[in-house]
Amino acid sequence: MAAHRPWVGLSLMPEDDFLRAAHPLFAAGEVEVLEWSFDTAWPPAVVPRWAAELIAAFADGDRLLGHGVHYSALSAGVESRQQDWLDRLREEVCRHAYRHVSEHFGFSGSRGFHRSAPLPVPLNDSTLSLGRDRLRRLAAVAGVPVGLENLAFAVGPRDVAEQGRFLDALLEPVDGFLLLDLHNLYCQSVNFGRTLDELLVTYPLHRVRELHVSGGSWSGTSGDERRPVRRDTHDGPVPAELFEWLPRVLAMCPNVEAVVLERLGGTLAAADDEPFRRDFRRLREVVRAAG
Amino acid sequence: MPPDDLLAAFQDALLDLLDQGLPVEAVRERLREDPAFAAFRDYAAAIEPRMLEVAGELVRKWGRRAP
Repeated sequence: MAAHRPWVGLSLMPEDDFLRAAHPLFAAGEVEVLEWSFDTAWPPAVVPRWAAELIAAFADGDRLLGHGVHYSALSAGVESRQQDWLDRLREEVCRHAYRHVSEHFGFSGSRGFHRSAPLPVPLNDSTLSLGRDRLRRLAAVAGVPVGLENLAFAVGPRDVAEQGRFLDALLEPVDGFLLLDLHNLYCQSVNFGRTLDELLVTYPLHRVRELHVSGGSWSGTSGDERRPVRRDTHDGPVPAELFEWLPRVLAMCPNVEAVVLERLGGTLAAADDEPFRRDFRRLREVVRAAG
Repeated sequence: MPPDDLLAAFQDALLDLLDQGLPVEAVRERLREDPAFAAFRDYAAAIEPRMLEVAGELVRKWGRRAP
């Protein structure tokens, strides 16, 4: 069991619109934990002073979570690029005290593409072996618990059916944790006609240490069905279904330490500020009520 | 070819084909029929066209070719 009621926090974005929307929450002390996607801000990127101060303050309070974006643990043939990333992570974890470090399931680069959107990888002996090796390297450098976030995007039902088993097998050798993104499951639920509960039980719920909650958007398609595809774009309000589902998720995941609301910087108009804060406060209420 | 090289070639091809903006059926056919990707034939056959279409949209938006 987690040692405390799950903390509710935000994923920090360095953009001004995020600061405008989130400032009242920080000022009132309502943000209990902060997640920082550290590798999006490695040089030549520059972290604004206010963001650096928040990172330092939450690290000092042992409430800072690290979340990598560009390691791409399941990319093959890019070992030197992954090693460069690990070298920079080594400096990062010296700079800031993270409670844990997570990355994403899937691959987001190849030999020919140094960066791309994360896509799924089929489960077989060689992909499992590759991923376990990359997670061992990640754990050795991080020096704190490491984990992986489930991926929203799937190219077919096989990805949906096997991702939970794949994640468990990847995480087992390093006793890693699962960062369960509820909106990512929501995307797979609506895109592949499975209920949220059906999907949830395919994941290693005893490994869940952190939850992500966010909104997203729809992409149109041109095929015969013209069915829109739900995407995890972090640019809209949280679907009501996720608030309603969250108590059941928390009841089934006894080791959750943190619940983090994600909203992409640069997507908040002034009119979105209050709905964003309402989502955060509703999240806190639901987590507190779940006890 | 070692398994990691097979996977690397498949991932390279998938991103490259999606980035080119080819019709979805052309991408699926290449992934299914190219002998180099025989290890992933079943996986490629189960790819849904509408998802591949969105994957192309994502790769063209976020993909950056290695220098």
